[in-house]
Amino acid sequence: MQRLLTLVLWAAVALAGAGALAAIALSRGEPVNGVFFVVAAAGTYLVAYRFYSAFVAARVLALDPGRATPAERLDDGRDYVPTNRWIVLGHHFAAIAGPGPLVGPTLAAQFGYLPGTLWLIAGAVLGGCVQDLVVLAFSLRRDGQSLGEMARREVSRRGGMIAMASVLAIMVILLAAVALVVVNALKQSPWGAFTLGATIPAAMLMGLYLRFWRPGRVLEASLGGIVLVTLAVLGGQWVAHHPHWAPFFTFTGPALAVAVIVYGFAASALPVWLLLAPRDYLSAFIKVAVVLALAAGIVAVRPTIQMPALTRFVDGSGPVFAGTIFPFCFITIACGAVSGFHALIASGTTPRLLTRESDARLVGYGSMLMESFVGVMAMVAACALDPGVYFAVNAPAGVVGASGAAAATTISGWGFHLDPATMDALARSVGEQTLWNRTGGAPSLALGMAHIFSGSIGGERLLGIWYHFAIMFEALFILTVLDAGTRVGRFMIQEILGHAWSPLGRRGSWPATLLTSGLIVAAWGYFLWRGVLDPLGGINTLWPLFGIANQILASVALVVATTILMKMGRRRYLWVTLLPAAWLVAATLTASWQKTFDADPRLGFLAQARLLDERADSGALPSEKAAETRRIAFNNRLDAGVTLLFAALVVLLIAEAALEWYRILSGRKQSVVHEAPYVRSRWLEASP
Amino acid sequence: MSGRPWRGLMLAARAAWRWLRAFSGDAAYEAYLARAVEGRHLSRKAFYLDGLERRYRTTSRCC
Repeated sequence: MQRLLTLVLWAAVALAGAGALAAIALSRGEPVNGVFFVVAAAGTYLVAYRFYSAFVAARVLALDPGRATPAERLDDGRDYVPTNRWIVLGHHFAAIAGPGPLVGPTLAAQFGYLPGTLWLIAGAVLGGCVQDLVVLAFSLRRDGQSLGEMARREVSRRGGMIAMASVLAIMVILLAAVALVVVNALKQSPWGAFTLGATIPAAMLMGLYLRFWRPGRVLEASLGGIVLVTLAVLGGQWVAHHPHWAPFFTFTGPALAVAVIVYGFAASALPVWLLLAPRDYLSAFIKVAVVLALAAGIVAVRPTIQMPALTRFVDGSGPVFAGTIFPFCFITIACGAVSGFHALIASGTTPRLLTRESDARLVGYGSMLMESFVGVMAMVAACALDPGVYFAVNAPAGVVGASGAAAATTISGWGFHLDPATMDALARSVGEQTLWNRTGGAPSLALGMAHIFSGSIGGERLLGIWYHFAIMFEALFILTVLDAGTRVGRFMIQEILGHAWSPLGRRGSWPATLLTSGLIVAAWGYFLWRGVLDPLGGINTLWPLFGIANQILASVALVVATTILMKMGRRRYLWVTLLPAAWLVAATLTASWQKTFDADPRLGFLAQARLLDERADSGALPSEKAAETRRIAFNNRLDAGVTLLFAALVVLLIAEAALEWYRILSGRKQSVVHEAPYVRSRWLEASP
Repeated sequence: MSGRPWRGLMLAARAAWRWLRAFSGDAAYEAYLARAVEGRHLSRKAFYLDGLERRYRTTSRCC
């Protein structure tokens, strides 16, 4: 009887998910409610978790709850600590969920709501979650080894070096892209700039409290921090209306870029307890709370989706970024469906905390499902906006026109009617000077979130507060990524330079810290600076580069995982990792090729560089403008080089892995897995 | 009968509080002390700083 009930229940969940998916996929012109997205995603996730993740865990990985984990065998109370799986789930989710699943879907909404939503759901259950789970499981069986170390031991020494080089290169582009999102969100916004600026002393105050007054009392300090940042959001409104302070906190893009670069340097060089850690605590709490509030808000407000299922920009002529659905929808969504960076977290702290091997399923697969759900909610928030408003905010002036009237004419010409007065009224209602050309995804997402939140609490009256709360929320954890990423990048550079001259590798050395902090900040700061000066907004270049880099790292992780599965003798299940890897390699290599060599100057870096050179050489430009044009042409060639470097890294790793596969399959090499020895878990013995 | 829902609610609140303390790291030192060898453990401040250095040595936050 119970079996029958279970069957009926799962059939109902599957039908609800499939029905909602069909409703959003087949609707053409009829209004679609945001709740359908939630039901479609939740139904698919539940079925995928119950059946597919169970299959991967049991059949493919043969996770064994009776096998002692590193946390049990090496328990030292510090690095290796057996921890309740729900707590590890919270830690892991807080670590993997960053700005990517919010910004990526918002930008991909230019194709319409359908392509991005389908990829967010399907990509996660078949690709992203599988990647996170298999990497976590393999690291778990290797005492928490990193992805690079697993690549070195299981693929080849060269494979390990390629993986490490990929991580550093990707880190630079990631940090530049997210920094640009913050800069674009805060420029000409005294309210936003004040609020985010105020979070720095708030975090430092928390740091001092935790360091000197009440060491380790994180909840007390975080509660104080949350009160302070809430006051900062409210105080920002006062600042924005003050005749003296408003101009003081109104910054241009370049000024903000300098501030972010200086901040990144300071966060990397300063002691971790002073700024990085307290900001991280604040960010983690606010992140979890806002994600839950957004889900509740969507269900409560039930927003109507205004964006069509597919827009005319599926042909690659999009104003937010150039390129067709394949590969650019997948590249742009990135983290919400599959994120290579998760492989670094899954092979970092998390495997050292799991009490049982079987917990990897909940933590690895489950956390990624939650991240994908965040992406779906971001898609709902972006698509609930009037499409005209969405394009007015996200399209750069270089595409739609510099004046409001010109931009409104261009956008209306695309079939999305827009009155310039609507944009002015909207800017006033959220307390901003302007909302035109606020590229980067963060402002339009904040608008969508503000509409959903104000629909639940406060109505139009609180729209401005909610908008700036959302901006603060996005910027806060982008800065956390910036802090933590810059610091890890610094350690990587120190490790590399330490091989050349050992004093540079010393962690406690101030000259080495300052030099390597300067190097990593200069690397991402360069890409940020030119993104800020880009007349097309910069994000149209940096985000696809970031997406390519991120998906290439995911390909690397899945190729390493396939090699390990082959060595484990799980050849009939290789498709589980090989199929998503093949898809990602196809998408990233196609995107790399098109971004480098496409003849359309809006898409191809080299075509754009040639066009700019021709303009500079034509003699029609004043000398200063011609020099600037040549600089932009050089930057485009540099981007082409970076893109090709990423593509070369993944091709090299695949060649290394394919050689290893050939050796194993042809019997030329004995297949040896480098797992930690099997030890029976004492937890199992303790249980009845 | 009327006490039952309250007891359930209290148990749930207690579980949520325990989760929050463990998730935030608030309870980390107590957990460490429970496992540490008598007389050979770090002070609360040293444990806190040591934990931060370990956490931010590797990629701890993602995109």
